[in-house]
Formats: sequence, C-alpha cells, structure tokens
Amino acid sequence: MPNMPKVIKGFDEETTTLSYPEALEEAGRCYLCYNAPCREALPAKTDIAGFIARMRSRNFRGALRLVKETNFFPGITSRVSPYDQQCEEACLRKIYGGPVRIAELERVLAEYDRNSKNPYLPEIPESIDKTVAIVGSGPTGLSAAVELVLNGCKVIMYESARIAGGVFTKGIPSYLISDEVIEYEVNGVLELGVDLVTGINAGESINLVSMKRSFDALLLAIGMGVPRKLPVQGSEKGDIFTGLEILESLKLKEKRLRLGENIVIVGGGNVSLDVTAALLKLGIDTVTLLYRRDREHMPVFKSRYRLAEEMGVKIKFRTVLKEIISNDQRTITEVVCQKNELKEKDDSQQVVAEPIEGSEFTLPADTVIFSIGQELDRDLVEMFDLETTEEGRIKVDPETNQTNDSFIFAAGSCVERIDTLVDAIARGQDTARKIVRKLLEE
Amino acid sequence: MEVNLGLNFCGVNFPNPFVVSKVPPVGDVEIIAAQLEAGWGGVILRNASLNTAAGKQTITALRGKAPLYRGVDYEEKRIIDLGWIEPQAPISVEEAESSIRTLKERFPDSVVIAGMVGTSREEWLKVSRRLSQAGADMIECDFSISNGNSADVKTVIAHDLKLMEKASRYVREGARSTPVILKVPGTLPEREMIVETLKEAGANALNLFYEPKGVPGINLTNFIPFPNVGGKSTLSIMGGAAIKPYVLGILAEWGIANKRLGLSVLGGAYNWRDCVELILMGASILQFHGAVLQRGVRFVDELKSGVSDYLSEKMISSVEKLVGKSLPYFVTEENLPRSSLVAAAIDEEICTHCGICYQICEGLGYHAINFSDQRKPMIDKKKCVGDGLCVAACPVFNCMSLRRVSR
Ligand code: SF4
Ligand code: SF4
Ligand code: SF4
Repeated sequence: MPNMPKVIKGFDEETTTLSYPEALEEAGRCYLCYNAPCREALPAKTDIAGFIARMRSRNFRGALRLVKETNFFPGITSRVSPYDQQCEEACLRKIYGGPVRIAELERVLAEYDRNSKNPYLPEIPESIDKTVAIVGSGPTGLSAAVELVLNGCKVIMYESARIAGGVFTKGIPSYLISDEVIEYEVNGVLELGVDLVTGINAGESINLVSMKRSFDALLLAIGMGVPRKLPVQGSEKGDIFTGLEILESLKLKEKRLRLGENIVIVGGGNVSLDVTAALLKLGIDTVTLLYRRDREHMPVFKSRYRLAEEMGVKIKFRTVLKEIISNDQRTITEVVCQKNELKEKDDSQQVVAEPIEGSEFTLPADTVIFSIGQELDRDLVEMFDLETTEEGRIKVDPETNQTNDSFIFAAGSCVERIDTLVDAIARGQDTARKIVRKLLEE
Repeated sequence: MEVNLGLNFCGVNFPNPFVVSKVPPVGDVEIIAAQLEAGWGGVILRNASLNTAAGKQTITALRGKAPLYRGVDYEEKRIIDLGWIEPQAPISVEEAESSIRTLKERFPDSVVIAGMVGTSREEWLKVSRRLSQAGADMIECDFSISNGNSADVKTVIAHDLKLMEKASRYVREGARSTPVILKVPGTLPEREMIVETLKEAGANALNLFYEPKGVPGINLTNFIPFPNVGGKSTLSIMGGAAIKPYVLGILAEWGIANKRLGLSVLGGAYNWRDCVELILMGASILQFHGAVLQRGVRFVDELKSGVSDYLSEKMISSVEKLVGKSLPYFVTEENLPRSSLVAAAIDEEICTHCGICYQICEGLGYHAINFSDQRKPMIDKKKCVGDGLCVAACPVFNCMSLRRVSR
C-alpha cells in the first residue's frame, strides 16, 4: 500500500562497548610505540599510546582526561568516526593480529565517564576577560567553545535548532549512537559554563554592530546547512526529500513518516548509505541507490558501506537521475535514469562521469530522496558581507581563520571539506587557539 | 625418539621429576591419590609430628581465617605471582602412616615422600622410624620451622648448623635405610659447610625452597593490604610464577657448592621451560605447590609433554642427562670474560617499526640506533655497546638479538 504513514519508534543503539577485562586485554596489545604513528593519523592528534598506557594500569580517569584534552567527544567519535581508516589503519600492531582497537578503547573510557558518579570536568583557568560568540553548535562550534573556555574566554553560543549538537544530534542514525550518549557529551560543554541560546538565528536577532560591541570575536561554525537537490525535470512536485530530512525525522521518536514502497535515493555518500541502511532496518526493502561512479569512488566510510551491504543495499553504479515522472495527483510513478561512462582525465587523477547517449531506462518509484551534499546557508554570509570561495564556502585566511572581516572567524565545513567528525572537532579546537592567540595579541 | 623422564634420585626411582608438595592443605588421601593417578612422579605428604594438638588443621579452622590466597596481577596479566597465608599445620604420625600405606598399596611405582618435623631427639628419632616402617620411599625433614613449640622460641632450626647436624643424625638413625631429604631455606649462607656437615650426618639430599614473605598488594579503595582477613592482613608466603629467577639463582649457588648431595627444589616452576631451566641448574627433583593449586592436577601433562618433546627435539635420551648442565657456565661476576663483544641485531622481516628500541638506546645515552623518517631502526655497530636492554624490550618475540662481533 503506497504512501501509508509509518510510525517510527526510533532505533535502539546497536553499538556495543567492551567489558573491562576485554578492554584491559586489548590495551595490553598496544606496543606503546615511540612517536606513535596512530596519533598522527587521527586528526584530533589524541595521545593514543599515552591513554592506553594509563588504561593498562587501570587509571581510567587519567586516560579519559588525556583523551579529552584533544577530543571532548570520545563517546560520539568512537562510535561514528572511521577510526579504522585513520589511527587504526596506521597502527603498527596491525601485522600481528590486527590493529589495536583504539575506537573500542576510547569508547570504554567515554562510558566509564558517563557512568561515573564523579565525571571528569576540566579545570577552568582564570578569565582573560574576552568574550567570543559562536554561531553553530555542531562538532566544530562545540569543540571551539571548549578550547576557548579552557583558555579563559567567555563563550556565548547561538544555535538555530532547538537543541545544541548540529550534526551530532541530527545527522547520525540512532542505531549507531543513542541520544543519551550525544546529550551527555554535548551537555558536558555547557557544564563548562558556555552560554547557549537556541532557536535563534544569530544574524537576524543581533546585528553585527551590536555584536562587535559586546564580543571580542565571532566564530562562524555554521556547517553546510542547506541540503542540495538536483534540479532535474519533475523535481518540484511529489514525495521528494533530502537525506538529512529523513535522518532527522528518524531521530525523532514516534514520528510519522510518509514513505512509499519504491524509494530511489540519489547520491553515494555516508548520508545516502545511512538513510538506506535505516530504511532497510525498518523493513522497507525496495530502496535503490543511484551513484554516478563506482564503488571505489564513493566518499564513504568502509564501516558504513559494510553495514549497508550487510543490510542488503541495492546500488546502481554509474547511474544518474534524469527525470522524475508524476501522475495527475502529483504522485511520483517512476524515474528516468541514465548510464554513465567513466573517463580518466589526462591532467588529473580524477575520473569524470559522462552520460551515455541512449542509455536511459526507467525505474518504478514513488519517493525520491536526494542525498548529494549540502551547501552554505547564504543568509548569514550575505548579511555579514563575507567573501566566499569558488567551491561555495566562506573564504578565510588559512593562517588565522579570519574572514574578510577580521572580527569574524570561520571554521569547519563552512570553510573547507571535512570528512569526519574528528576532523571537525580538530578544526574547532585549532581555530579556537588561533582566536585566543589573536585576542591576546591585541 | 623415545625419551626417559624417569630418574634415580638417592637410590629411589622416580617415574618423572615432578612432585606435588603438600597439596591439599587439609588431609584427604583421596586427593593425593588423584595426583598420583594423574601421573605426577611423586607426592610429599604434609609434615608429621608427635605434637599436633597445637595446629590440627580442619576446614572449619581454615574458613574462619579466609581468604588465604591472593594473586598478584601485572596490567592485564593475571596471577604473575601468588601469595598465601595458609598455615602448614602438622598432621599426626598415625595419619601419615595410614596415608603412606594406602598410597603405596595403590601406587607401588610412584614415590611417596613423607614429610616430618621435630623439635627434640625423641621426635626426630621416633617419627622418622615410624614413617620409614610404614613404607615411605623417602623422608623429608623440614628444618625451616622453629625449635620449640612455645611461641617465644623462634630459632629456626636451619639457622643453627650444630642443631641441624644433631637433628640430621637422629633422623638418619630413625629412618634406617630410607633416604633422607632435609628441607632448608635456599637463602642460607655457608652452603659448602652445610653440605659437608649434613652429608657427614647422613643426609642424602637437600630440598631447597624459596618462599619469601611478602604482601601481594593493597586495596586502594579501603587501604587494607591483601589478603583482607576480616579487615586485617599479615605477611603472605609468595610462591607464584614470579619467583623463578630467584630459585634459579639459589640453585646456581648451591649447585656449585654441592658435589655430594642430591638436590630437590620447591617453587618457581610454572611451565616446562621453567622445569628444564631448574634441572639444568642442578635440581633433580622439582616440587610444586602454588602451581598445582593454580593449575590443578592435570598440569603434569603439560610438564611431561613439554620436557619430553624438548628432549626429543634435542635428541637427548634422558632427563637425567640435563641435570646441572648449565652450572659450568656459571661464574662469579669478577670471573666473567673481558673480551665479549656483541651488538644488537634486528630481524627486519618481523620488525614492526614501533621505535621502542630507539627510544631505549637514546635513553641509555648510547645513540646507537638510528631511526629514520620511515621508522626503520638501524643499529650502528660502532656505537652499540651490546648491553641488550633494547633486545629485552622489543615487543616482538625474537625480533632483536645480540650477535657476536669481531673486533
Ligand atoms: S600504533 Fe598501535 S601499537 Fe603503536 S602506540 Fe598506536 S595503538 Fe599502540
Ligand atoms: S623495538 Fe623491535 S619491533 Fe620495535 S622497531 Fe625496534 S626492532 Fe623493530
Ligand atoms: S644493545 Fe644497548 S647500545 Fe646496543 S642498540 Fe641496544 S640499547 Fe643501544
């Protein structure tokens, strides 16, 4: 029966955490390498050998403290960031029985903290009498806030959504991570004394002039807020969603989701895979994913692909969406696709996909989900008169992360391509340090 | 290749050199029978004494003083050492006699060693006589106890050579033709003198033991040391796997001093490699206590297989041929060769590039390992002094070694 609203109860987290005996054994496998390459391979530059050494002597608190110095969100990142492609990939233990399971160990510490009666709170230094406003409370904004507070700044954070967290709260399916874990770690930031204003669009509510009067600096960590849709023929009517919309509604418990029986998802990133896997988990198995190139070109985490594969994802490679066809009731009936051929460009490593004439075919469909990335929310950019790059991101001085307005800093995916949450966190921390340096110079 | 694990020790034929010492803590001859059934070469019964009223050991008495045992862990590794406060209370001569008879009847080919203690001429004479008459293959008299039953007389018999000599003569006399082992702490000084004196007094063998007193650890939550017996603790006997090096050291010293007495050793053997090492250092008979508590009676299979497979691989026909083989290589420090030149070497095939060797050599100040950007360690043979700490620390088994270098 098409288009029957489905009541979705939300997912239970499926990620498990090692028991202490397992964790100690795993920690015992680490060589505690000199100048360990695992650290360099994790964008947050966490002292992995250091925290593992502390775990081995059962100093879990000290180990957690060390992790939190570089990554305030270990419970989240160790669940959803591709450690297997970063630090674990670089682990020198790899050749003897596989890499040390660093994500698992970090998660044990995060859980240890979450279950502790006396959770870890860093010491806050004396105030340096500077106030920084941050717009956006995703991973970059939050980690910048932590670093600023730990350097003696006061931080006020603006978030347009109802709750803080950005991608943390919106973009990750609950079977990978429970809301409780996210909430715990996001609240940890607020506990440091960061003021949070939610449900507010910073630019509209406070103007730049008054901001400059009240704050010493402004950091934009607004991400790429607006999901893209392909301007194909027929894309203005019918059940057309974006991947993020679906993920977001799947996070809300007891939400009624109107989804059809024949779902076509366009795009080959992590979000498309997550949406597909989530729908498959709900028992909706007539989902087809269209991707314009091949598997090896998909910008996805190995673990997420594996999961979607296990769930039985159907992917049409080298395929693009050409047209969406609806009937008179504005109900989608089918989509027209076209096959691509892949050509290697002479001057670069890149492979370009070119449509093959006459290779069109149709697929039955009643719902189309676009998951082809996001773009910058232009409103703020225009309001603040910010320069942007060709890529459509905010232009900053890479040395200082300042925009063309030296009062305004920007960081995270609104500035550059960010692949993982750990990257986003590292950028936030790094930019916060730059801001402090600049404020102290003044 | 057929190898022989059996050996003749002071005229007694042992099917193998592995002997269970005084397990279980409370007397039940069936448990001891099960040990012989499982294939241990012999058993030592708990010490018999004429005076057992003071310390009759019962399960109820033990339970009132629990816990008795505490393991020592290192990081994720459990029980690298084991401590216990189990009192070794003597049993009555009657109980010992009946156990000897039962066991010898059922296991004529296994060795039953009767333990005993004494504090007077009468006791040494009588107990040894009765144990020998009951059919014990050997008698082991324990000199590690105090002379006298009153709590304030604390002279350990083994610390008084004259007393030991006297006692040995009585035991010898009482035991008649039954071979006598004297149990003395391995840490005693003046080993040559002791060996001479006790040999003269009629002893056949020494059982060296090393059971240092220690504290397995402290509970960091409530500050009470382990084991916590109703809120209090006391010194434990430490007798787990960690003591092997000390036992080897003791054997090395006694082995060199001793040409005339058989040597048995108690403690330190936790796998077949330990066994081979202790035998190479001069022990003929290996006694097990903590290891049997920890691993159970079947543990003997591992030991038997380990030692006999080692022997076949080395093409050595009998375990007897190993006894004391390492002693000639053991000298005092001032007699070490002065012209030994070695340098560290790395097996590149299995190196993980972890850099630990580099870190260590830098820390020692020799700067003999170069560590490239590609994380490849290279030994600078000119700078390497060959001290071997990097070899000890390399986390990959057999990856580093020391090689002789020519000048
Ligand atoms: S590379 Fe692997 S073995 Fe080495 S310190 Fe890192 S986690 Fe441990
Ligand atoms: S310590 Fe061993 S494994 Fe590590 S780099 Fe040195 S030789 Fe290689
Ligand atoms: S043996 Fe000593 S000097 Fe030689 S490389 Fe190793 S640590 Fe350095």
